[in-house]
Amino acid sequence: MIPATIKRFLRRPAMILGELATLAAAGALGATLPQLRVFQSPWFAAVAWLAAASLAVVIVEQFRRVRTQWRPPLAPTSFQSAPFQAEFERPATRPNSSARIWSERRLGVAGSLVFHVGLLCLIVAGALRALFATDAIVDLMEGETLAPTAAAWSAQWPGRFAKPFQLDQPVTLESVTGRRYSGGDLRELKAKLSIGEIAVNHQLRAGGGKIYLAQEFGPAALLEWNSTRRAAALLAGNNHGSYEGVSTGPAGLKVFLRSDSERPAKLEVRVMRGGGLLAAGSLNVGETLMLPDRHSLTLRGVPMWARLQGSRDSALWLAYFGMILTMAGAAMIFTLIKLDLCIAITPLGERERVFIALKPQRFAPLFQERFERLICEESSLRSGVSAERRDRIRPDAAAPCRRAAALLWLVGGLALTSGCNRVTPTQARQLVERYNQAVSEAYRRGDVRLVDPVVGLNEGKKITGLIGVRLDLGLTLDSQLQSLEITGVEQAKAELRIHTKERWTYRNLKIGTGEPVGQSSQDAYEMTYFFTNANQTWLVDEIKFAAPPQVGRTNTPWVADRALLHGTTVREATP
Amino acid sequence: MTPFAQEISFHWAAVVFYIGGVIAFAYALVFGHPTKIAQAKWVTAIGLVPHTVALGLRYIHVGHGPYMMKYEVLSSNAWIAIVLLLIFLWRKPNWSAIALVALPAAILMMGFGLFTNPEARNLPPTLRSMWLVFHILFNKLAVGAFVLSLAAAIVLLRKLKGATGRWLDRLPGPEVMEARMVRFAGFGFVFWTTTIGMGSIWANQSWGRYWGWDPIESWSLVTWLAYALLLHARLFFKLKARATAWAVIACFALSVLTVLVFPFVFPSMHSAYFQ
Repeated sequence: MIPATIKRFLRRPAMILGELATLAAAGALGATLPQLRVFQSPWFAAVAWLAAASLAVVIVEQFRRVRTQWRPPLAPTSFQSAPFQAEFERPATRPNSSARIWSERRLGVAGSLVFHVGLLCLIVAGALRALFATDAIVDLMEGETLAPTAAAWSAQWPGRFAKPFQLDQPVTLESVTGRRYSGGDLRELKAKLSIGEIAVNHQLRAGGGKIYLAQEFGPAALLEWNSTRRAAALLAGNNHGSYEGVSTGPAGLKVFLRSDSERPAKLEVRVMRGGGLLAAGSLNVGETLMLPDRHSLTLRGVPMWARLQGSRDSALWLAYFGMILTMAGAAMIFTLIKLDLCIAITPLGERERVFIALKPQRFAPLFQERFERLICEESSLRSGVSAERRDRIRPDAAAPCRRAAALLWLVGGLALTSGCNRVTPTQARQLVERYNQAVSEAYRRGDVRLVDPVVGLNEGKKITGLIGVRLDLGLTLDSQLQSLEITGVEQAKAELRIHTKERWTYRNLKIGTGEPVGQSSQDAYEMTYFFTNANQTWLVDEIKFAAPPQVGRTNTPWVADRALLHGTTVREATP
Repeated sequence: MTPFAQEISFHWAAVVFYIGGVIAFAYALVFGHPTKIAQAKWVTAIGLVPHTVALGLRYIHVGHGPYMMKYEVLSSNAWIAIVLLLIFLWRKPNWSAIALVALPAAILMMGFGLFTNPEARNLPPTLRSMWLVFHILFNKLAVGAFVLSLAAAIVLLRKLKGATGRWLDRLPGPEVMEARMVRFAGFGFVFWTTTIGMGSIWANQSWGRYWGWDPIESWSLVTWLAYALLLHARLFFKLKARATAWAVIACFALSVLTVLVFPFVFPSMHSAYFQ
């Protein structure tokens, strides 16, 4: 048994409010700074358990209270503290004294109890899940079989005392089917397994748990390096309608793969080593790409892959039960308010005295009208309250108008403020870094499509031309950002200007061998980035040098104009 | 006229009627013409017709309910708030003054939505669930109830400050006002609880877990806890009406941040619906 002092401590109002406030603060902290891992911390678990203990004590207390409050009061004397009472005389209707006492919406008394029991169930279910449930994940290709072992899954997240998730029989992924809207967006995703069909939002029972189909899927490239080493690369969908993936091969080789459809006949491949582009082109199934140093890459097949999630949580029913109770209890608290009513009649010769009382469980002021109706029914007299209110007239009609206008402006201001989206220097830095990262990689791989997510039309055209010039020269550019300083941010409506000082190192690499060509260069720039906002995304529409670029190299391995290769019209003095 | 142009025209027609409704309410309440309140309600109710048609056209156009994009989410939130307001005023005619706060708030919500990107976006497979309908419906009902509790809180504060005027005097006394404000907040709390419950069931159906501490999940829990804190504090410590009203306003602000602002700030699986 829990000592009375602990019970008193756990049900103290300050304690309960403290628990609620701490949980709310922890929630805000955990949601704002996920890196703190608040929800996995022991102190958060301790507060949750303390709240559960308080809930348990409160539930016992509320259960006792419901038992006593369930029955209507026994005598008119119980209504002495009722907020609504009236007494009047009327002609006698009956010879004997009588008292009618009854309750309405009695179920409301149990609302708080049901609500708190539901919450306790949820906390217990959550704790059981943390201790005994298991989640697992695996990416499977069409034709691949998932063995009935725990090791067959790519990753597992078992609870502290849980067994790893495993199936009770081998399961083969037979096919993956995506159905699309007419515009091309994914509408439905299904997978046929050897034990049944599964779809997003339609799970399958297996292995004492359930298997779910995630929305991640795409083509998989079955690769063969040097006719001996096999590898599979999963291509994941990006926001631009294509699928991309990467795989590493022998001797530092790396292949970047792209497909524009789920079931492609051929893949776009770029083989790189150490920042240098060795080969680029399309590869059909069965074709081999010959690479320097007698390496080769063969595409053996392009099946589809899909992500499966496994989950076993034996306390799920308790969580659902808790959710139902919590919702029902909350609804009962605010919609069913128990009313105790009493009409007592005492004979006084030819007249009788009537005592009427109404005692609401909560929100007493809202039952004035109900009480007035009750009196009207019994006395056949009308209340004059409404008429009195209507007759009152106050001066200064313009003042409320001014206040209404002020409120309108206040609400309007709030709405507009919430819509404003000022870019901070930190965000400005992230925008420039995101752009530089995408453009550097595009130059490195000779792949202009990599800049699509970060550039607008004008800058996109310019970069396409600049990368094209290099590809025509048989070169790619390997660049590293050494330092970046944001010197200013200007924002107006849908336009954003970010001023920077940057230092870069560059080297040109020969396509096919990855050998450096010419001098490497250390450059310093002062730049202005012009961003435009398209569908809530800042895109670089133009870049200008705020000052002539300081270029480290003294000669170039090509004849082309250096200003042209920097994408600037500023003429530099020839070194 | 393209379907989109029709939709926009109906939306703006609704805005015009709602503005007319505000003007009519102001004329009736501020300048002492109580008999005109009925007309004000009718003007507002008529505005619901083009608004409903606009939302219906949007449904036909995009093939799903108002779950994605600020444009449709805010418009449907305003629709729910106005429907709740009219239902309440039909039951409690003496409370017409809260229309002077709730209606402009709904118009601003709608107007703000109309100036955002109206691009139609298809529902991805995970969002194609019956639970989404309940999740969003109860969320909108919660926002509607919170808007009404906010309106009641603002009016209550004016009354407690001793402000007078024809429209304020038509409202019940501070005690009734406070009880009504808390009950609105309570209804919002019930709907918010249901929103979280429905979302949890749906999350379990999609991902095999009913709670994942996603930032917006966490913020919705924080909002729920804030309302629970308010209701418990009032119960335990018999909070004064003024303190309760300010707490209701603070909780409303938190709910608005959770629904309309945090999805932009924190990367979350909920962010996609509101771009």
